[in-house]
Amino acid sequence: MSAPKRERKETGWFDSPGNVDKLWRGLLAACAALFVVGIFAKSGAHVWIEKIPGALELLAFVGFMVVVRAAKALRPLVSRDEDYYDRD
Amino acid sequence: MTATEINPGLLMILAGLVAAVLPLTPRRYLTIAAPALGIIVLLATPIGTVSTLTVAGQALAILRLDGLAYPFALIFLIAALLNAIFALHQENRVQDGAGMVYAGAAIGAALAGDLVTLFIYWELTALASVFLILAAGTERAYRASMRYLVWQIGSGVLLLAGILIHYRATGSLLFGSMTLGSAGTWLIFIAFGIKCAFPLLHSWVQDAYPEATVTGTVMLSAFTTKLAVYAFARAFAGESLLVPIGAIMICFPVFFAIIENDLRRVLAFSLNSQLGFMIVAIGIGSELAINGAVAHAFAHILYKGLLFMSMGAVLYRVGTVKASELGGLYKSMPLTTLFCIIGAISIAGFPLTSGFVTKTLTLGAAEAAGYFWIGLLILFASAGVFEQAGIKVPFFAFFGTDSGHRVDEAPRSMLVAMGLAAAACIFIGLFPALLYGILPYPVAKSPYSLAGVVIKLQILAFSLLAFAVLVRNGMWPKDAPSTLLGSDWLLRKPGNALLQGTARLAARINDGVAAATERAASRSMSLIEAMSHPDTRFGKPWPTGRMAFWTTVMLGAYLFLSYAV
Repeated sequence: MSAPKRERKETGWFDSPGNVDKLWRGLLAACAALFVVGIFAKSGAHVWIEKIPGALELLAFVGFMVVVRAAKALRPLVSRDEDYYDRD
Repeated sequence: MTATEINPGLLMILAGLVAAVLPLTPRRYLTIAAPALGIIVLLATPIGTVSTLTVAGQALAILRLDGLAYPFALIFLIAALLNAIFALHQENRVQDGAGMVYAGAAIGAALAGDLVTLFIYWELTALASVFLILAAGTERAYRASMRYLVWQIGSGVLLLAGILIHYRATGSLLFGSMTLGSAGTWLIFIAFGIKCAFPLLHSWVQDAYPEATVTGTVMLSAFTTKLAVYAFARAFAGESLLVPIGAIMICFPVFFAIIENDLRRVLAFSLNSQLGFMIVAIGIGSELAINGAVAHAFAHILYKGLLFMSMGAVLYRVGTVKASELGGLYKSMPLTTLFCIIGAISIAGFPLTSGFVTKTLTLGAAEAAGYFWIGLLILFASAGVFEQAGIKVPFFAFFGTDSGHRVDEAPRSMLVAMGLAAAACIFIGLFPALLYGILPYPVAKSPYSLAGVVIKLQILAFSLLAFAVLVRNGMWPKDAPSTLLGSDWLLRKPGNALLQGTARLAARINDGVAAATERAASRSMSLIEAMSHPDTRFGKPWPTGRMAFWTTVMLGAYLFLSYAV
């Protein structure tokens, strides 16, 4: 199915740990900036929880972690070998 | 015949049937020309057009173009056109023909004004689409397609039964607003629910979609489920039961998508979750909410199609879409990577993308209707969707650990289709008024408010932060080849065992009955043989005179009786 392989450069921008660190720091800076902007910008929000500084940010962060941990915990219950249905 | 009388759905179906017998080059032109012509016909048809056909004394509205049908018919045609461009590099007669008939059936159903016409197109979508799975040509695809067909035909049978009961009860075949309550409306509701992948009725989506051809999956993702969304918006807008159903649909696929290894299956899970947003909006039922559901369906077809296209391109080049076998593809397929990311940020609802301007409507409707928790759920589920389709798919396919695959960029036709879909996602985000202008109800507000944009960005940025923390610390669940169990497990394991057990029992009973019959037959045979032996009373030859005597006695008795009675 795949086309003939061509020679390409082996390393990309993301292979350098320095660049990945740059992205990481950029993300931290963006989160910090959004937190600060959020304190002032959310006066137009309708729902009380949206007006508490940091509440949505914390919920998003913790919520994401909880969902991933829950999915991981779900694995023994719902995950089987790849050929599970094909064996009979 | 004027443009107002041409049904773009029928046009596509006819073109599909013709395409199935044409040689490659004219077929390619036709797959592009038919949906393009369909779009022109649709644009030329005034809203409010109704075209009826009288069959056996019953007037059937075979075409009804109103404010609700229009956006669905339009996006179905646009999707058919993009899919045709995407498929140009492939030579697959069955796929080309079936794909057009399938799209045409979905368009015809969206334009159907009565329930009989709806049913005919409803079944045709099932029949035509199964060929897209079969066209993959693998044993797995064959088995998945048969399971898919059972669900789809099941939906059709329930729909037909529902229509008949509804017709007997009300005397109306109009495909319009219904109130849940009678047996007929419940059957119709469940028939729609199967096609909309309601919880526990959903397994066919994750089962069959990832087994179809590279293009087939893109086509499947556009039509069937969104047709069901349309049907709900038409018949059950404001049915409050849809709100909790939609909320469950939004949440539960998120967990499965995180631990699923096949990236096309991950997208199928997130598709299911996205349908939940639309169903919640239809359940709320206000004008704003219906606008939200329709706009979301419109945008969803574009960005979900784009995501399935990007994974299709990866499957086409690399031969697999298993997260555990991919990574680092951005070096080989930079444009596909870019388009996939645009699809990902759209599905996550980043500001300036189609996902933002459409989900804002639903969110606003939930808040206005006082569904505080549903509003919060929608907000966070967007983050959940972001983590499954938005981060997981591009990250593990194109970035992550380099898998060492060095392949060519996707074929040009695929890039053009992905580029157009990506451009549409951004275009709608930049100019939402264009999409808002074709919604069933007028939209008063701009989706962009400072608070709305900041809230959305905060949620997305902090979800991304959580993802980055998990990946950097090696805490993200490792992708491993696996099969995830769903509600279809009940059918495929205990159900299958029950079926086989029943079959064995039936075979044993059958053997027993056959043996007993054989014994009884041979016993009767020997009895007859014994009785007809020349030495026995019955076997002895009887003299002719005795026969004549008894015949005369019989006839005499008849004569006597006929006079006496």
